[in-house]
Amino acid sequence: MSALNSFFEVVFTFFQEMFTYALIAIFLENTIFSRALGTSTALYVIRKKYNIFLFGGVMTLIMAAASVLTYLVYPFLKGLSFSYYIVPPVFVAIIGVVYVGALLLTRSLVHKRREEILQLIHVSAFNCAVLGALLLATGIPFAGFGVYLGFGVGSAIGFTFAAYLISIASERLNSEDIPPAFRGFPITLIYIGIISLALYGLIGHTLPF
Amino acid sequence: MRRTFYQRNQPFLDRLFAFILHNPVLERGLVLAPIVVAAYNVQNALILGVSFALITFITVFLSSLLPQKIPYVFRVIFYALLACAVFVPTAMMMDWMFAESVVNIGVFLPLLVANSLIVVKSETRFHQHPTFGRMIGDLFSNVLGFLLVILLVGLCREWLANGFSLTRTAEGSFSVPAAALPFTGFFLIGLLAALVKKIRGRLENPRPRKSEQREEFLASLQQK
Repeated sequence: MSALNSFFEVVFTFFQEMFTYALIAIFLENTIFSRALGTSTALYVIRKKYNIFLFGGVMTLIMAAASVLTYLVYPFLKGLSFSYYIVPPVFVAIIGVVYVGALLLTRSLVHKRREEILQLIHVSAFNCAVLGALLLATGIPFAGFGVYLGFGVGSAIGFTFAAYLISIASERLNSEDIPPAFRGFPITLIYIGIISLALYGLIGHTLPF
Repeated sequence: MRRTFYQRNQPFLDRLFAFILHNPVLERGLVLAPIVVAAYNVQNALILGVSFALITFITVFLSSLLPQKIPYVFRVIFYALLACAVFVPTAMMMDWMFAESVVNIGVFLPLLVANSLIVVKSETRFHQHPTFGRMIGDLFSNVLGFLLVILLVGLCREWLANGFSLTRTAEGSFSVPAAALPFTGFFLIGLLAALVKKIRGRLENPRPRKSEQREEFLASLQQK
């Protein structure tokens, strides 16, 4: 009975950690609005009119797989005195493995919308959002498996959420109503800045002036 | 209509001033994260700018020597790994030059290895140039453009956060500490991007001179 209890406790802790860190990554430390990671990728996806939710799904799977591998590998690196220099190449190699694996799996298992998904894997695997989320997860003290997985998945969902918020305003931000100098990219950045400011206030910060 | 100096020499001037007119950050929004989040003072901006310049320039230069026979997927992974190899001595050098300041930059220094100019633009832009010299020139103007923007943004934010002074804030003086936060980075880059777009628009479509306006007006009257 006590073994069963401790098993349920472990499962409960795992889901609790995963859910908490996923929420933190989506709202408090949003990849785009809080850290500007992958902003150019989000703008590229919107400009090319890719399906944002399909892109988000692909990115979530890549991020989840990379987070699991990071959780397994990072304990061997963190004790090293030169870990700051060795971590980026190891993480890039992990992303590379996941990237190749995702392409191979898609080629062999996916039949519907295969070409579109392959194209999305190329865009979603190697960017600052993925590498940034992995690097940020290593900075969380006493992080367990749930934390790594939750933070990785949450970062991808947060990225999708941010890209969706930008895309729904994109048509207006590119319209004739905007002065030519601001139309398109400049006003989009100001729009992202306003949402970033709103999120900053929403989570309870007060401006320091 | 009389053509302006810019219009007559547009290809040459576009290449010469590409670091402003076709700036990678202000025109295409590439490598935004370090500028928006970490470049809140001149020192951080300098560390990130110099590191970016070294990592990107050396990586793209070396990656151009890689045979095109290797599949695209492996080339991209190799570019990022090559950038990591350049990152190690660069980070050591920055650590030696700026001592403990590198810690303030956090993940944004290692993140430079996966920047868009290396991972995406190496393949779609730099390696597509017909000559090696053109590639180096384009690469140089992109790196210079980034350096210029990050230093400008770092300078502005430090100036605002320190109460319109680049030294420490004097007691009682008005300052804008929020300038160090990411949303100010977005606003500043948005404003700079608009400024560059305005300049480019004015160069490409200059206002007609008063005499030309008068002639156009008279011609339109005659037509009526």
